[in-house]
Amino acid sequence: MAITCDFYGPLREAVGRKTITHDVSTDATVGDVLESIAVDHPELGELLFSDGDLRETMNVSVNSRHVRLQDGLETPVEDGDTVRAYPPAEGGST
Amino acid sequence: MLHATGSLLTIDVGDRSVTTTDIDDELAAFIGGRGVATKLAHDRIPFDADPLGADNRLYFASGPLQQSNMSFTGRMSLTGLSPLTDGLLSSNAGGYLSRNFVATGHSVVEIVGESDELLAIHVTDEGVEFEPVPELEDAGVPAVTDAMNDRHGLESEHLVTIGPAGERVVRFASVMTYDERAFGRGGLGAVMGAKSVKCISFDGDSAPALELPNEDLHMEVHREAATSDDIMRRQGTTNLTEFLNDEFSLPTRYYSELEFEGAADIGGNAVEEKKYEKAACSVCAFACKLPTRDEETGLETEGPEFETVFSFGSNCGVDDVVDVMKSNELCDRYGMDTISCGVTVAAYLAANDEFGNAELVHDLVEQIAFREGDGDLLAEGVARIHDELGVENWAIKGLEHAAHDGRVVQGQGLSYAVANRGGDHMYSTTMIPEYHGKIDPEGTAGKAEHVIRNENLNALRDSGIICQFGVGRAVEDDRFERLFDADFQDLLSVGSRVVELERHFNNQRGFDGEDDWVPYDLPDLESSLQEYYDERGWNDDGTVPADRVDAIAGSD
Repeated sequence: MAITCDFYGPLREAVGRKTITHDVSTDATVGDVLESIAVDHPELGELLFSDGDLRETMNVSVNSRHVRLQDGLETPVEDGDTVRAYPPAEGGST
Repeated sequence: MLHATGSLLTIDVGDRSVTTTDIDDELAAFIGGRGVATKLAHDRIPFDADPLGADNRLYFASGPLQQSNMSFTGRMSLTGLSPLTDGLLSSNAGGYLSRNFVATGHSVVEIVGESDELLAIHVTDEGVEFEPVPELEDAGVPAVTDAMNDRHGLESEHLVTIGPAGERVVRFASVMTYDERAFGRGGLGAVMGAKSVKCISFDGDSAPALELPNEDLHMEVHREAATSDDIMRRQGTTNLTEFLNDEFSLPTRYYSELEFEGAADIGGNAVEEKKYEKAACSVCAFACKLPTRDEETGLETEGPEFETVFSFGSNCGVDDVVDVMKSNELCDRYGMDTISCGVTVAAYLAANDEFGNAELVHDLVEQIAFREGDGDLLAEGVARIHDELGVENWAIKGLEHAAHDGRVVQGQGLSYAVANRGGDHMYSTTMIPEYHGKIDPEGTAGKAEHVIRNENLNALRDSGIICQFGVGRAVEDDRFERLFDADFQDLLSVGSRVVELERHFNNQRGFDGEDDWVPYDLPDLESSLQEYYDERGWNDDGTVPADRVDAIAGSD
């Protein structure tokens, strides 16, 4: 099944483009998707993961819902889902 | 508990008198910065004062960490009665002012009265001098710096300045420092203008004695800032633009849409392409500022930051980063808050079906600064003119709504509703744990405690004074304890008292729960407001019980 993955900031630089459409098996999780992409782009894995978990400072969503509010990297994905990975989001001054 | 040291210097620009007052007790109770300035403003500005009258007072204040060499401390606080919100308000600016301010020997400088001629005021460790500067009427901020440099050798890091917008009491006029850094929100530049003070310089060599605990931590933070590979060091806050647009919201065309088709053209990568060198605030190795230049036109400015990308970009339907840079440069030159100005211009574009007309945007910014043509109306801000324009009121307590969209991050929406400062994202920053999935962005139920904690923490941040980009990134709860040599809950209670004094002052001017409002529906808002008041120990109508303020007053 095809999963659309959007990357932002340094994560985009690690994979070289904003969007990757990735084919995975039907029982895949969001962690499987990102780890699979990281095989070709090792820097992505270094940025996103620490000891197999999502780094505290990194963010991943499935269909615009943060995986911390779902099952973390074990959150299942389905055909046509959108995964987004982005760096810390801080507000700021004018 | 660590706190600032140094006296209160009061300058009455009406009779040109100067007095010095010992405020050690206030500093011990409120640390410095926004905290001590709020305490002084609460006690010394009459509750019925006209924001643009002689009785209003401005408080420039430093915190204890402005005597350190730690990154993320190159900031100052400014407090007064806002002509935009009609309430007590503090604003905060970076740059290089803070160390020169501290070197005068004062922790707070208070400006009161009303001059009958345009003045420059020079504050040093040897005293105060008044310089009539009628020839600087309508001068832009860089021209004032040039004049002060030519006459006195004073560079921009010694100066706070208003542009023509402040002189003409544009309600969202800013006070500028280091030419391009702004005490932006709330129109305190108009207060300075109403007092006929064009600029104030700070210089000296007499920083008060202060022993800073755990200075090894300062070096640790400094080292982390210097070696961080955080994308903010390249793109500042503009790195947020694209993923907020895709994942959450980038308010577009006067908030009528949540997504902007031109986000990539005005966002982090577009701004970084225009960046020509690194820049920082004093002693900060994080260096997240954004000097930008367009080689084709020669336009130079600093920024835009994310909020300006929103206010003059997506919210005006403008998709060319150079056009946004131009709006940013004009606001800095004339001395106006880019959020309030951009949102007010967007309201005009909505009323006249002119979204995307960048030339008109730039014309309107100039007209606002000089109160010419339609600019005279727009200079009043959205809350006062939306009926006349026939558009929705996207200002809360008079302050134009920031980019972080309470319709989508709804704890932030609750935060906007209760904030004493109104539509300002920096008051509680509850959107950050919502963006990070630490709390669910949907709904307001159960979020009052998050809003309160963040409000208290940010009041502490602004009293210390630490940059928002250091809090959470390099200075977390345990480090606050080491920096201030105090229990974290005790530190948060300082922040709580600051919020409470702001609220009490505003209550005396007629504000209550009816003003705790946002221009959109939020689930469970009424019950969340009650939860917020209950947890604060306030009355059901959102006012502060008198005995709570008496207890704070007892900290004198």
